[in-house]
Amino acid sequence: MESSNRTDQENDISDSGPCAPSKEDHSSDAYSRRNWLQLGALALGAFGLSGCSSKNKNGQSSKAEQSTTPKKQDDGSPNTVEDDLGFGVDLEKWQKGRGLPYETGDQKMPGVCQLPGPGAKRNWPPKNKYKDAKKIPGMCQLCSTICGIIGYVKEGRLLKIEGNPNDPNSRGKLCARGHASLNHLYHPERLLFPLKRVGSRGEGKWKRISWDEALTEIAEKLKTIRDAGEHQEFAFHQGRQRSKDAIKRFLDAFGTKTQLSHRSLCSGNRRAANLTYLWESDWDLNDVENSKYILNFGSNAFEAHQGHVPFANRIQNGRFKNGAKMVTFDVRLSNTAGNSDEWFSPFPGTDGAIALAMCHWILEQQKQDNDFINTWTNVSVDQLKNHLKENTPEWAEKVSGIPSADIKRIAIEFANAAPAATTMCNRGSSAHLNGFYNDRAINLLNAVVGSVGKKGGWCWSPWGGLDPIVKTPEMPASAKTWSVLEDPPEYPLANVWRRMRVGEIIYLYLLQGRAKLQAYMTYNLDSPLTWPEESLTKEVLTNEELIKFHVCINCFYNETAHYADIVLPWTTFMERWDLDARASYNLRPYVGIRTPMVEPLGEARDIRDFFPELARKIGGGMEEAYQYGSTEDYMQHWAQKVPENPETGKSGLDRLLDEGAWENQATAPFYEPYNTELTAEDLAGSETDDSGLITKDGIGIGIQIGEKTVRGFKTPSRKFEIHSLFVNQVSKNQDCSKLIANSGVTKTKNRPKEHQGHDVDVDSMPIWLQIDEHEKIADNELIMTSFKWNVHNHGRTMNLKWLAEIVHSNPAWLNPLTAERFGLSDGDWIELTSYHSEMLEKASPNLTHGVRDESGRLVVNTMRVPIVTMHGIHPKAIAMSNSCGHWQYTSVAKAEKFPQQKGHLVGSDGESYRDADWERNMWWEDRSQGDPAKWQQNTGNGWNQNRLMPISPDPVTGQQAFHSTVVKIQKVS
Amino acid sequence: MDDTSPQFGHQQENLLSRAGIYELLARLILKELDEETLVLFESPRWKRLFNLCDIHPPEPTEALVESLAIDYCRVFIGPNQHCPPYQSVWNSGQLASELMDSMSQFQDFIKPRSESSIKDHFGIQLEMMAFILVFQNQNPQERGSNLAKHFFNSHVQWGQRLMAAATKRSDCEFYQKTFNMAAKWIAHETQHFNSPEQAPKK
Repeated sequence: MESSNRTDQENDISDSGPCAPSKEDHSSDAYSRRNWLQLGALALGAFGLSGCSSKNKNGQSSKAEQSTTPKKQDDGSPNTVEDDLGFGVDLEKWQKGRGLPYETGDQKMPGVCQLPGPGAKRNWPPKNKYKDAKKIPGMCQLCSTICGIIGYVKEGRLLKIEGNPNDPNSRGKLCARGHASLNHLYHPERLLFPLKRVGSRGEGKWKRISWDEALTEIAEKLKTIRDAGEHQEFAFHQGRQRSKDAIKRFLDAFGTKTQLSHRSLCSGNRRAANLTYLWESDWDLNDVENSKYILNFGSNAFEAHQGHVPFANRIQNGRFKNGAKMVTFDVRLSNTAGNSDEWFSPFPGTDGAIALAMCHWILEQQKQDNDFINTWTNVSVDQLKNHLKENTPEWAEKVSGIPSADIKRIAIEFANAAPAATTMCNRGSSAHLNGFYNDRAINLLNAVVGSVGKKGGWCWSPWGGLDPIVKTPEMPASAKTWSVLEDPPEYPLANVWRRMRVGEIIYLYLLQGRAKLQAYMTYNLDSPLTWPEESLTKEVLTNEELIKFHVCINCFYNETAHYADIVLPWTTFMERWDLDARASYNLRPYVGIRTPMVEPLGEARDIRDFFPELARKIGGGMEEAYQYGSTEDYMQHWAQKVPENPETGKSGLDRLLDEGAWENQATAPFYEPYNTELTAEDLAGSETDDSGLITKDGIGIGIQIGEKTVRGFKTPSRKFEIHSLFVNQVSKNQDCSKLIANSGVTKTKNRPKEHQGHDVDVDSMPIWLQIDEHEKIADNELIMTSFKWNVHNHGRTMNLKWLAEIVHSNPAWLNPLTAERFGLSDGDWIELTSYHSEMLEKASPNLTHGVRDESGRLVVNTMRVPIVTMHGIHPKAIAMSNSCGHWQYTSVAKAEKFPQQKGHLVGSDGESYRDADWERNMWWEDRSQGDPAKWQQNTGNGWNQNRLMPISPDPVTGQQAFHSTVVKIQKVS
Repeated sequence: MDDTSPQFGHQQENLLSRAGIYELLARLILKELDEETLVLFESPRWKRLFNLCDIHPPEPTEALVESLAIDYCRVFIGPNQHCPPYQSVWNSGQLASELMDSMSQFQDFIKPRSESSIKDHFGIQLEMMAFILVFQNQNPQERGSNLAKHFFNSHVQWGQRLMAAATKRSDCEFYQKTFNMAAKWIAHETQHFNSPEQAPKK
């Protein structure tokens, strides 16, 4: 466990400097009240306070002091000034209120859960706690789901957060993270002021600066880059962001397209698989509420799936109101798997093989939807049968370990339930080196049974965000730069439809000298913790040659801020503005609002607030992108098309502020959009070719199906593309202009010239790919998988005490059979050695780095962790949750209860610092200092799994293969 | 009588001298020391009186101003392991707890000169304490009221813990000694305000 930062920091405050510490024992020095009072007499008025007013009834002051600077006579004593500045004691008010029992702050505060005790029922919660509280809508941002929330605000303070029933997607539901928003807002270690680094980078030595100083310095650096025409060397690197418009406006106004994200660490393969079939959407919205059969491959929707709260709610409605059966295939017994009707634990990365075998069996048993396949896909039943002929259930049993009888049974159950049957999947299947193909195979099941776009089936919507009715003030023209960091040419499907990027390679590419960064602005990002190869990330972030200037925007001092040059305190999602929405399971768009429920604390500011100021300081035309007035003016403009609510008479921003969200319920759910008939207007001037493809001015608009002219799918064939010529050709850098035109998705482009020479062979059909090193895995090796808990996101919640109390550590999960084989039992420690993928070394030699062991394998790292034995894990897998193992990010995240150094920590100190929660409930502090012999189960703050994870992008899309890593296990004696 | 005794000279003590101490501490805690303030501390009277208290203000050089700013940041601003100068944090473990209501009530008639979006900043509270004492000096009829005592007990006394922690956290002799002195001052003021003779006069 890393705990040396503080020690270094302490030691680096030199004892011999100009501001050296006293060597005296202060407890014994003489305290002279008389001397002290003499100093007081001199100090009176020196700093502008002495002449405070005491206003009389006429509002006239009897005495006042003014001056912000000390006024002094020659001997240093202050002058007296007789003007009233409006500060001091108001005599009239005091006399009116005299004798009132002013509260002393001893009341129970929101945010502290007092343990049940003798007085608990009597004293808590206070009866009138929420009386007269104002309800203010907002949207949570402690994960990607952005549930609608309502804040109860009284006297300028937020008392409680609850779900907003007006939010059409989340329907008033809110998970534990959302309820812990109060911890987030009022956390005692929040960043409240801009900071400037004063030691070497990563040393942890800072001073406070003003916003003006900070923005001036940042502007100077950015202006230099801009003036030199090196715009692309300014990178903006975001973690979870919901202010897309504000970021895009700033970066486009600046002129850089180097906007980096974490999408490839999250969902790149699933999105690319969906896009291959659909083109118009990267996000399947499984209509589980209306389903009869839910086939889950590796999604943990009850805990962490993107949009999991509305999704989980609808899954349970589907199961318990609609009678749906749910079957889960997952290496690990997640809470979703545990709450399914059946759970199967396949060998890691074999979900696609199981799905193909199910397709094979459905076709074999003639249970397929012939009409859908022949009409709406671009392959015939016979072609599909032929393609899948080798993918038998017996073959799948061999690779996955799932009995063929179960594969056959479930396949038929799924087909019988169709079209109200849907698959669902997520990182369990997609975060693998074969993840693109896994998800292609899983999605294929829906086409085979004809549930694509059907009620209760596998659906999607073209609205991934806000209802397009709302429009921001005019945006600047898009930037035109190119950077290998934003668009690495080795990954053909990373950016071809959407900018998914390949986030995990950026630090390696910087280290390899493939790009330069003169300025790097991080935003809500914790890459040292959440990115693979922690040590490499830290090495690059520390290097002032590779990243010359780093500005970090965050609410907390996290592992990224530690390596910044300037840290800017960011507002929480309860203190700032956004219009926001995500792809809704109602299959229609909506608009939600995030609004300041309370004034920002300290000097925290949002980018909507300071980007305009920064742009004006940079100048050179950037300021022209900020002509819209104030942030509230911007929001008024943005929301103005939200229609009036006839009941309240409110529209636009007023309506959103009143209700929190608006959904146009006149918009029909997006079922079977491919069957939408084209209108005469659509068809005017169109042409139809021999295949039935309808184009207008060379751009595809639909397809002729029998006598009907319909919209079809927005793909080159206007059909559900089981066979994708496009992915095959574009990956080889071939000209796909005609295919793109036929799809009508004209924003899609051929790969840029910078990609030439980087051809990749991507199969045009859904297949399953064996991962080499998995096939020949040794007896002392396992495959490492990761997971999220229902109370945490990846890197931003372990600082919240209500959540940390529930989950704070992450021993490795091991199957008892595996543990027995290694002679291990609960609480034993193991040493894990992780390896780079041999398959990837061949496919992506550009990534090769690291140290080889005696056998020639490339080692990533070693780490010691304790184990817990669980039947709920595949015997060839080992699981560790993420979220844990912070070495910055507040004492809560570090599980530090008591001060370990001189001075007092913000955590808990029995003598001085009073946090009842922390003192009584933080039982998990670990003082073993990494000594396995002293460690107690369920203590400590865990281990960062990313010390072991290699940079491992799927060669097709660039998705980080978090679940494919082979690790060697050794018992620590 | 021992001059460290809280009883010492209370009859003689000038309310304004006490207000001046609160004012000085408010200045030191509200923001970093700047060159101008250090120049003031260099003047003969200031220097002599500081030295009498065994406190030696640093010279007003750029390097020392920087060192003090770094130390101030370590002690009060962070970014980690610091001593947030907000009463809510020390009483309740979070920013802006319910005692903000109490601060709002007091600020309804005691207007601090400095601004902070977080009302229970110790520096603000010290300013307000200074105002109360000056106010009582100007309005002899108010000296018997419970305002000073009540505000002190509600919103200043807690700062003894902050000052003790800041003394340990600081690496700078000037701050260490001043904060240490401040902690002792508050301890004495606590005894003073809570002595029987300070009971409110009806």
